[in-house]
Amino acid sequence: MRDSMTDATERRFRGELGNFLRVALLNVVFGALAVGLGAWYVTASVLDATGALPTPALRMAAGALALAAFGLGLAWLRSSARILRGAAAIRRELGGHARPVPEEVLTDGIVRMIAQYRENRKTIRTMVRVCTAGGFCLLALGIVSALESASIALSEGTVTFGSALLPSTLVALGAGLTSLYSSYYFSRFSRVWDRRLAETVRGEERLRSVMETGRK
Amino acid sequence: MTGRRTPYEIYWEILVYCRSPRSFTAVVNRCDLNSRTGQEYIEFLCSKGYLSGAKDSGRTLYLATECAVEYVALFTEMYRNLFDTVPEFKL
Repeated sequence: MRDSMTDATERRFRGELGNFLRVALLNVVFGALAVGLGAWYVTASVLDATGALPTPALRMAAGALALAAFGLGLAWLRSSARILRGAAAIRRELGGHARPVPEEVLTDGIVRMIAQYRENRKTIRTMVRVCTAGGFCLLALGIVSALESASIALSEGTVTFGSALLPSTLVALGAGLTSLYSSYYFSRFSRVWDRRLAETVRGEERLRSVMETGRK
Repeated sequence: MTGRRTPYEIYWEILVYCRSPRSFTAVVNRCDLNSRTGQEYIEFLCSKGYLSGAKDSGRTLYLATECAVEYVALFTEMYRNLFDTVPEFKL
């Protein structure tokens, strides 16, 4: 028999799992975008494919930023996919049961999530750093690209953007902002689950005393 | 189950799974343990009286005892409370 507290716990757990999956999925998508964009920018900068790079210094800056974004994107993608797999497996398991799920299934889901977090804690922290650095790299890339494509007519006081670089500039800016958004939510997720992990460590003392006492 | 579990989480899994009689192989498979660690956990739980082994057609089946109820209830309450005492993660 389940009580209303267990129902509330199930709602919260399912809600948090869903939110976490959304953030992790965003990370995977934008990790892939960062890799693609990085590769495209490196090639475009080296070959000056767009013909919109006025000085070698700008080309070098764009190329270096693109290379950094490419590398960070790869690390980002790999970490996100790993985290996503673990959380998706828990959701599949919960989804296999009709609501409300039996109490032991819910507890099993919570234990699995705790175990996943315990194992991936360092990776998630690294991801927060990678996402933040990647986000700033992509933003910088977008800004450099926007400057490259902009032509300013001082006498007329107007700014016009070349159409060749505009889509990639917008994607870079969008991916950068989303990356920063993801890292913000990942760090919030991390703070919440760090507290839960600390609670389980405190609770171990009680479990130990019950377990060690035994009943024989 | 993947991830890094504590011994207490593994005890809970074994005890919940053994609400029905289970063979050693079934326990280690379900709880994702290797034979050596599975043996250690099962022996520990038997030594504390939380698990009993009975021979059935030449193989031992393990069953959680009445004494395991307290541990399972305490564990379930503790892990459920993690969602009541800590603020929720929201987008």
